[in-house]
Amino acid sequence: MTTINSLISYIQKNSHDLLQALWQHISISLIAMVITILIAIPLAIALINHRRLGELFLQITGIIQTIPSLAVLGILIPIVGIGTVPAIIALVLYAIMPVFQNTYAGLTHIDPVLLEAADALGVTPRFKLFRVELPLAMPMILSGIRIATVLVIGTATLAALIGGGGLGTFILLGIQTNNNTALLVGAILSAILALLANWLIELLSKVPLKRLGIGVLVLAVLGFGGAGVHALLTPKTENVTIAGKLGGEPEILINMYKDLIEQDNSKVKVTLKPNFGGTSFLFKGLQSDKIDIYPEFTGTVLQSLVKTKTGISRNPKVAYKDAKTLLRRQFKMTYLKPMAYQNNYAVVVRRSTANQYHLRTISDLTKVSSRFAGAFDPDFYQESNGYPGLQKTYGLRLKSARTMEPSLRYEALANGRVNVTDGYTTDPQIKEYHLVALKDNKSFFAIYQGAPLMKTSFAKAHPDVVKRLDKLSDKISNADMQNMNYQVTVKHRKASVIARNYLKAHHYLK
Amino acid sequence: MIELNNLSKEYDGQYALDNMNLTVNDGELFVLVGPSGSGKTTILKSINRLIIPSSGTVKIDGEDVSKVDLQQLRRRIGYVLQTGALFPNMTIAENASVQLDNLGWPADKKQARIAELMNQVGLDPDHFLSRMPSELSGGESQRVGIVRALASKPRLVLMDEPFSALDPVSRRQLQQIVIDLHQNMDTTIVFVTHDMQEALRLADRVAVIYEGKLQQVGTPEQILTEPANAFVSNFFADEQQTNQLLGQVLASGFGRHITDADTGPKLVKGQSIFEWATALKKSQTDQIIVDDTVLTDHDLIDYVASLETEGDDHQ
Repeated sequence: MTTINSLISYIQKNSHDLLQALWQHISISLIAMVITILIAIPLAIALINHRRLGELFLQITGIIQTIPSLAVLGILIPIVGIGTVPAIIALVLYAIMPVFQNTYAGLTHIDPVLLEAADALGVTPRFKLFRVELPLAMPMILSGIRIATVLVIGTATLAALIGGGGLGTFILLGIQTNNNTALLVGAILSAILALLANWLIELLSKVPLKRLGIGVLVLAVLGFGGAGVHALLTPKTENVTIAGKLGGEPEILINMYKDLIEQDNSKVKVTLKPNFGGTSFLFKGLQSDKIDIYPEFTGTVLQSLVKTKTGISRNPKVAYKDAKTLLRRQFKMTYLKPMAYQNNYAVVVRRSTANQYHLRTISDLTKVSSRFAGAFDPDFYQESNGYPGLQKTYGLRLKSARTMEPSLRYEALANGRVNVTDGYTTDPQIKEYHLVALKDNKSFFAIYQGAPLMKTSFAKAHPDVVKRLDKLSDKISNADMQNMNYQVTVKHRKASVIARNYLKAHHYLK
Repeated sequence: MIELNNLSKEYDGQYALDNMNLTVNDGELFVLVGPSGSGKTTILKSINRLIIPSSGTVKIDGEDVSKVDLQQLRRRIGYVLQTGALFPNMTIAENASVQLDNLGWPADKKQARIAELMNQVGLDPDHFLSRMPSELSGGESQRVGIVRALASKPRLVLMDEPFSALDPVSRRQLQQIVIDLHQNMDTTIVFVTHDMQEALRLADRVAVIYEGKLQQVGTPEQILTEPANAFVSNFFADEQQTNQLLGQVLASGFGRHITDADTGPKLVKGQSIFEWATALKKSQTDQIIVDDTVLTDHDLIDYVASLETEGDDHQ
C-alpha cells in the first residue's frame, strides 16, 4: 500500500525531477494549446460564411477525436519521429475539435438582430469581427479552450511514451518499475494541473478582452525575453542526448554513460531520456538524430534490427562481432564493446529446489523435470526459442506447463504454486525471492550483452565520448547488474544514485 | 430625396414587393404602414441595401444606392431596429458611438455629441453612459438606439417598427421624442409600423402598403378623409371613428391663418383633438398653433359638434 507519507517523501526526494517534469508538462500543454488556438479560431472565423465547409470540418475534427491517442502517436512516429514534436502534434489534433466546435457554434449563434444592426450601421468588417462577433462568441470560445486544455493536460501524460517527457514519465516509471508511489505522484500532479488550468481559464474569462490581450502580450514578451537572456547567459556547450528503453536497467546504464561523459568535461552536456520507449522507437530515434546514443543488446540487434544470413551465434564474442559488422554495413552505426553481464532468457527455480535436487544446469533439471509444474510468459511459452525449443534441445518434460502474466510468475514461483518459470538473468526478483537461474549448459538461449549504440558519424566526431564509454567494456557482472536492478526496481532507489555509487566503488569516477 | 423606381422583390416566385414607385421628400417624416408581411420592411431595407431588390432602383439624392460603397452609404444613414439591438458587450457610450467610431470622429467631439443627444432623448448622460445594456429597460434601450442612429447627424434615418415591443406609455413617450427630434432637425425619417395610430400621429405623409403594392400615399388627413380604396378605408376605419387628428380638423376648413400676435402651444397635424383639448387646459390659453394655422377653443367645440352630424350621416 502506498501511504500519504511515502507519497510525501517521494515528492521530497524527487522534487527536482518532478519540477522539471511538471514544467515540461506545462510547456508541452501550453505550446499545444497556443497552436490549437492559432489554428482553430481563425479557421472557424474563416468558415462562418461557408456553412457547408464548416460542417464538413466539424465532422473531420470529430472523427480525429475518436481515434485513440495512442494510435495517433503510433501513426505519427514514422512521419515526424519521436520526442516532443509528435506529442504536440497529437495533442493539437485532439484539442482542435472542442475549440473549433465552440468557436464555430459561438460565432454562428449570435442574435441575427445584432448582426443586422452592425451591418446597417456600416461598421468595418474588422469592427464587426473584433467588437461584435468575437466578444459575443467569447464565452463559448473560452469554454471550448477550457475543455481542450483539460483534455490536453490529461493526454499529455502519453507524451512520455515517445520521449516527450512530462508528468507521464513518472506514471510510466511507476508502471515499469512497479512503483505505485511514482505512478500516483504523476497521476495526481497531472490531475491537479488540469483542475488549476480549468480554474485559471474560468478566472480569466471574467477579465475584459482588452486587458486580457495586454496581459497575454506582456507575458509573452517576458517569456521570450527571459528565454533569450537565459540562452545568452548559458555557456555554449555541446549537447549529447542519451536515451534508454523502458525499465530500471537501461536507466542505470544511461546514468553511468552520463557520469562518464560529463566527468571533468565542461564542453559536453548530456541530456538523458529514460523510459524512452521500445526498441523500434529508440532505433528510429537514433536514425533520425533525435538521440545520439542508447544501450542495445547484441541479441536484439541480431534478432530484430539487422538482416543476418548466417544465423545467430551462441558464442558471445562472435555474436557481438556479427552485430557490430552488420550494424556498420547496413546502418552506418558504431556499436561499442559490450559489458560483461548477459541479460539472457533463463530457466528459474527456487534456491531450496535447486539445493534439494542439486540443480545447477538446465540438463540437471531435465533429469527430475517430470515432478515439476511450470508457468511461463505467453511469448516464451509459444516461441521456438522458448519452451518448445527447451523441450527439443534439452528434452525437458514438465509435469504441467501453462502461461502466466510476466509480472505474476515470479510470485507464483516464490509462493510455491509452480516450481519452474522463465526469466532474465539480471532480473532483480531472482535476488528478491531467493531464486536461481539455471545455467544454459547447451547454449540454447541467444546471448544478450549490452553496449552503447550510436551513428558512426557521431562516433567519429566524438572520439572522447567513445573513449569514455569504452571504460565499461567487459565490466559489470550479472550479479552486479542484478543487484543494481534490485535497488532501483524493488527498493525504489534512484537510478542516478545507484549508477554513481557503482562507478565510484569501482573507481571509474573520482 | 429618396426615389424608388419600379422596385420589386421576389422570394421563391412570390412578390414581397411588386413594382413599387415612391418618392420621399427631404426633411419628411415618412411612415410606411401596413399589416404584417405587406412588404413595408422590405422597402425600408432596400434603401440601405440590407435587402437587395430583384429589380428596380433606389436613389438617394439622385445616386443609385447599388452603385455606391455599401459601408460609406450605411454610415451616412441612421438605423433603428425593432428592439434596441444594443451590443450587450459594450457600454451605452460605446454603443451610441458605433457609427462615430467607424467614421473616425475624435473622442472629445464624440463625447459631446452623444451627451447632447442623450439629454434630448431624456437620459442623463452621467447616469447612463457607463452602464451596460442589460441594466436598461426596453424604453431606455430604444432611446439609446435612437441616439446611436442620430449620432453622426445623418440626413436620413430608417426606423423599422422601433416601438412595437414597448408598453403603451413608453411608446407614446418615444413617439413624442421622435416628433420633437424631427422638428428640431433637418433629417428625413422613413418609419415603418403596422400601427395605424402611430402612423397617423407621426407622419408628415403616410404610404399604405398591402400585399407588396402601394395602396395610397398622402398626409394623414388625406388618408383618413379620402381613402383611395376599400383596404385603406377599412384599415383606418377604427381610427376614423375613435380618433380625430388636427390634420382632419384643418382639412375640414377650421382655423385661421397665423399672425405675429398669435401665441399658444404648438401642435402638429398628427396629434388628436384630445391632445388639443389637453393642451388648452394645461396652458390656460384659448388657442393652439398647428403649422401656420391658429385653432381656437370655439373651433374645437364646432368641430366636435360637426362630428355628431357626420355620425348621423353614417347611420
